[in-house]
Amino acid sequence: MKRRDFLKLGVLGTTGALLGWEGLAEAAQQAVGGPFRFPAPVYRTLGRTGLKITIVSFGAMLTPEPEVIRVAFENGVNYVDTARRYMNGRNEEIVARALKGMHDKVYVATKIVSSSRSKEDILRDVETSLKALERDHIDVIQLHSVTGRERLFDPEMREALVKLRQQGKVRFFGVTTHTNETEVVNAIVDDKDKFFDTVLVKYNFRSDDELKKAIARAAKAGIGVIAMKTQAGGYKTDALGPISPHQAALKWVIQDKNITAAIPGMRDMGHLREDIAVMGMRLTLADSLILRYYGAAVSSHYCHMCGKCEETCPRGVQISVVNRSLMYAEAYRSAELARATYDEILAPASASSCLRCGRCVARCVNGLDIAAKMARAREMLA
Amino acid sequence: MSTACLKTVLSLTILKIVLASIPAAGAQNNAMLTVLPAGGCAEGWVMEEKPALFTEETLFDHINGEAELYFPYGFDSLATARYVSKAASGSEIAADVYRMGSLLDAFGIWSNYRKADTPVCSLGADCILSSSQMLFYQDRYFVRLQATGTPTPGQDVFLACGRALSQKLPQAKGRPGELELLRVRGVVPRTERYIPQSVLGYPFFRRGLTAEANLGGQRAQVFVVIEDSAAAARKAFDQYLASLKESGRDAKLTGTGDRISLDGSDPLYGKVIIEQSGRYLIGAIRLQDTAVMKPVVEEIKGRTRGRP
Repeated sequence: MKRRDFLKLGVLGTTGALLGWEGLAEAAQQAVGGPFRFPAPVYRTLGRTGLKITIVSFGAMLTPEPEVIRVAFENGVNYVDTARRYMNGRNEEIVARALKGMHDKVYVATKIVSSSRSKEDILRDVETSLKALERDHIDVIQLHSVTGRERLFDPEMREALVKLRQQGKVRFFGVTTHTNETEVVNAIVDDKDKFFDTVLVKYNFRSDDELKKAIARAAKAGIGVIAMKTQAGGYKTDALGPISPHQAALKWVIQDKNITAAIPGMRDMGHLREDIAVMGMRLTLADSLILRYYGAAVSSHYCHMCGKCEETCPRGVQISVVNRSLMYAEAYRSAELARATYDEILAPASASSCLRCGRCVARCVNGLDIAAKMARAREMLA
Repeated sequence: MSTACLKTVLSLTILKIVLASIPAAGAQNNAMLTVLPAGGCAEGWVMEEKPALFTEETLFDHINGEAELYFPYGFDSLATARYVSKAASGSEIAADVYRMGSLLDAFGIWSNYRKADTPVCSLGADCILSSSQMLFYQDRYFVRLQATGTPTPGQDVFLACGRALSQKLPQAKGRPGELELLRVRGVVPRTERYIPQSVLGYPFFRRGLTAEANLGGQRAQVFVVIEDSAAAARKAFDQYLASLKESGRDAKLTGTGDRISLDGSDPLYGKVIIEQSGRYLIGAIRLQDTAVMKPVVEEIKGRTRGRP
């Protein structure tokens, strides 16, 4: 997107005009220019656990190379989150390799398999995790993906976790939630037994006020709150040109003092540098504007594949499939996948059919410019 | 217009939009859901409840944060069903069929779950089987059968269910052609992986293959970065070289054009060798002795010749 188009959209309003594009770009690019230096780590206390952990900690789920995780540890990151389920347990093994010689410097959180509900299953999961992680204890053991109150109060689960703590195999209990998260967080706060010490919750600049309030309640009650999904889905967009919205999204989360830390998934050194650099940074006006623009850009560029527009196309073009092909090409940057997807469309329903139309009459309920998308698809894929 | 009237009109409009979108979504769903045998997947194992379909926007609801692992592999949709044993109450199998971007993507996501010593089975393009699960890929589909209840079903049940599912999928059962690049002396079988983003953790190595190597008692990791053109491969090579320099590391260059090679020291992996061959970058890391792994790299390089 060109500067002219960016300004034309007027998404930034008067404040954007005051700051100007250059100011915005400069602000967003501060961390990118020049040789990279890892910042001094910044710590917060994880609620009543008393653990002091880095505000940007490591979500290891996507990281295939232990050396990348290791670099984070060597530069002060001291909390890593994995799960029994990720890669069939191989992710815990990758974390173990990164931890070699550093077990006493890094806190480890992992998760019981979601489907493990019986005492035996939970005990087995933790034993397997301990073996894979090559540790004698897990700092935070979490129930994976809790979606409502009921599971939090299951006596068999609680009995298993208490037994594990008595054995010294786990230190603290946590919960993870990214569906119905407000109810889950509130239920943990309201638990008179104060059973759970931490909650790992989906939280980002698109979260609603109810969740924000629940998180504040949790923090006040001494529950350590860790944020995940901080990028609001992480949809890629070229609409911001050279500006990455990821730092702004991460800053938005950790500027909330009720959040102890965020655990962005870091696949590579690029992600690591971008995310870790946020420690010590403040959320600026430019960041807020970037997030507003990013949110708007993603929602207007992102095809929801609802297929509604196809009813309005007289040529029967499979617009949603064409758009998906484009998304693969432009957002995922996978020419192979884009081509494979586009090639599956029968010729009469491809974007080439649009050439026989004088003017595009297809309409998108979300405001996508369908004619422009089809033209782009023809250019790239036809 | 009163507020109440406005609310009614708005509600009806939303309802109309939702209802109108159902046929389009329904057609896609039906095609994917038919890969799950409706009657049952093995003798005495019946489908409980209706199968469900998940898309990119809802995959989190089914597999939680693990969903993020699937997206770079071109995840398209997931059809899932639960099969229960009529004879053994409580014994269940969760059947997940993921439609990925391509055969290579299906292999890639499958390879994330495989270890070199995981027992294999004969199904699809490749298959692993343990006491509690079976995973295979076939065409662009990745299939995961997981025991979720007790007692755990026997492996014969997994095999029968797997076969029933396999028959419902496209019958092309070959492995991705790209894996032929790694069929060379020294590469440890069943350690190949396809990485769709950031090979070796470097964003400029956009996608490629990795595998363990063992030659002369020395272990290392070999990799092949796959680019769209020789120029793009050279650009990635130059970006890597620049990153080494930024880290203050040594790198010795030989050759020119798209036949350039590098022998140096990587800040993450220690000794490294990389050679360009057209649109491929072939190399090895975690080396003890560079010379030992050179023949492996050369042999892979030889296999890139003649490939587009």
